[in-house]
Amino acid sequence: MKAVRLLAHHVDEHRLSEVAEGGAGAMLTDAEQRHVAACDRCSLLFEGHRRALHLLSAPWQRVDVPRVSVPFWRRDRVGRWTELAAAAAIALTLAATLLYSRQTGPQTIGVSTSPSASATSVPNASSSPLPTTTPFVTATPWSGLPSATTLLVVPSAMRTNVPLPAGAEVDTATLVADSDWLVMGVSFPDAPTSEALYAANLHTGALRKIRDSSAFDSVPTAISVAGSQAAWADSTCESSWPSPMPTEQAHSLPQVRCSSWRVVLTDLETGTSRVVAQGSNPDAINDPQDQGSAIPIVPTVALGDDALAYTSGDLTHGIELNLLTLSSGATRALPLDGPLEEMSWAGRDLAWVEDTDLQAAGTGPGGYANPYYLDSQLMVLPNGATAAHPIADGAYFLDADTGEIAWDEGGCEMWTASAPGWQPADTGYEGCPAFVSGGWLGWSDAFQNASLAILAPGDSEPRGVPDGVALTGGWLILGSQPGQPTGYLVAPTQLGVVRVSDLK
Amino acid sequence: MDAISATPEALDYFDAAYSKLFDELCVLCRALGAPDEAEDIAQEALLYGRAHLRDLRDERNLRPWLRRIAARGAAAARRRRLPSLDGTETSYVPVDPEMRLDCSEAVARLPERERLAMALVYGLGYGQEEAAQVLGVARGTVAASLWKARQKLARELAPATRKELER
Repeated sequence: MKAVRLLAHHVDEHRLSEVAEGGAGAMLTDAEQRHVAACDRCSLLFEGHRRALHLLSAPWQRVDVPRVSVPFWRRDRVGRWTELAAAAAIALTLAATLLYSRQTGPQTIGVSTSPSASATSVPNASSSPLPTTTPFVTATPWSGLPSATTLLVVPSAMRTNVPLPAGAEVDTATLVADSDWLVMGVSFPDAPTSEALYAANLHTGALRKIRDSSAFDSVPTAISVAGSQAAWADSTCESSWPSPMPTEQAHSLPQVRCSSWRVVLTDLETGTSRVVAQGSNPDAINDPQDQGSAIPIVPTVALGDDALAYTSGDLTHGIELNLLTLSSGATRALPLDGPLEEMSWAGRDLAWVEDTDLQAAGTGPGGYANPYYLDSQLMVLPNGATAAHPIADGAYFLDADTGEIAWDEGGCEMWTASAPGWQPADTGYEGCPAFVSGGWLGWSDAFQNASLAILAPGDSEPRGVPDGVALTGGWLILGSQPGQPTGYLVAPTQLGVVRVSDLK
Repeated sequence: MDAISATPEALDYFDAAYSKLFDELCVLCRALGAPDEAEDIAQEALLYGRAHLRDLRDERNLRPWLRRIAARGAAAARRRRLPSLDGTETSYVPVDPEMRLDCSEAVARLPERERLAMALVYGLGYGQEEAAQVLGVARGTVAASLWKARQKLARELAPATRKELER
């Protein structure tokens, strides 16, 4: 009998976690209960989340534990023989990589932008398909979760080093590329400041700081890049702190109030910035997904080809989506039903995640001080349309490229939709955040053998990239961090890139 | 917003709050993996903060600023530390005596950013925005780190469930 696996029928992991947490009214529906009772994967995940939450709410203490130095292939507690097999596979991979590098030889263009960086290299134009895709032995109890089972090790000859400021650590959640530019959030371990933004030209090796780090302001959010321009939102916020001071066991809701916000547009070629829009004292909402923390409702920003979208307004008078045509300065505004959590251009169409199901202040667990939203919808505004239409519920980690969007639902289940119909489709892959670029899909492969999994257009088998960080703007971003095992990348101190079109 | 220019009033406020700030920063440094160095780091952070008080444009940012300085100090202390001879390290983890499984290692095995985000949010009760300020990353990064960490813990703890069911 042929076994057929129904990918879409699992209860999503966020839902399992929510119910395990016992939130207000959180109960499995009858259908979900029946599925969980019959599904080994879901019942174990449910129990795992219940136990994890129980553990996390236990008293935190300082205890001595065995020093952890776990190679990435041991993440799933595989047996000793599997470890040996994995180590052998990696050794073979490295040997093949070395051999390949010696045979092809890098074409060095001799740009070294930092003392620690080696020469920047460009891929050999006549490079043959990568010989380093190596079958990888995996052993996991989660056979129901499809993931990458082959590794892709990108040879150094194909990589272009990304210049970084000395001593910088890169925030892997803030890496956005388009054309020749990569914008990244950077922090310095020995400086008491928040993230700065740097832009690197991947063609010339130029590096430019486009936003200072600051100990006083919030970190920049909603960063997007289009061509040689970048846009982001800056908010100046203050937290009110609990009194008395928090102890190791105390738990109290912080209140965040933002005094000002602005939308910044920067020319990456010249480094000149201008404030496109600004305001003060934005309304705040409580976020039930963040222990009820207060967050400002505006702005959300997305930069596209000759178009900048940003939100403004308040809860009393309404929130608006402003669509600014950069070349002409023309602006049109669309009313929104709720604040936007994320927004991204998919070519000339615009996609966003909009909060829905508004609840009044004073309700919610413990009585939130601000209004809050219980749900959200993924919306698409086709080019030239006057109204957006919903295509999915509860999306997050939205990413978009021309004619395609990708997002996560529930337990990091990746979905995609393509123009013009924008019909949601379950990819069957799990991992977050989701990336989409030039027909390639990518996702953080937190549970398997690599930092990132990628799927080429037309391929059915994803490949794990051990030092993969992100897929953005047609580039595969690779990173390394001294002392950190491959696959456990946290804050890379070295970055490299390769065009995804060179990987096929 | 103008700088507060280290006026006598600001310095008086700082000095009056010194004891509470010191205690809070010690707690933070211990949670961030620098228990032995916590008091030194807290004192250095406060001395630095007092000396550079004129740089602070808004006194409401005093506490997050000091937390950030202390967090950097804790990170530096972690990097400087030599491995212990007995093969152990002190980690700030939840301890549930009811659980038969030793879960401390599961938490200690998480990647550093995820572990620190968990320690701040679940251990100290910080909100995600506060944790993001301390770690110097975006709030979304903290949210993603927490979710990934919870996923990994759930998967670590679930096999024990399977074994119990099979028993």
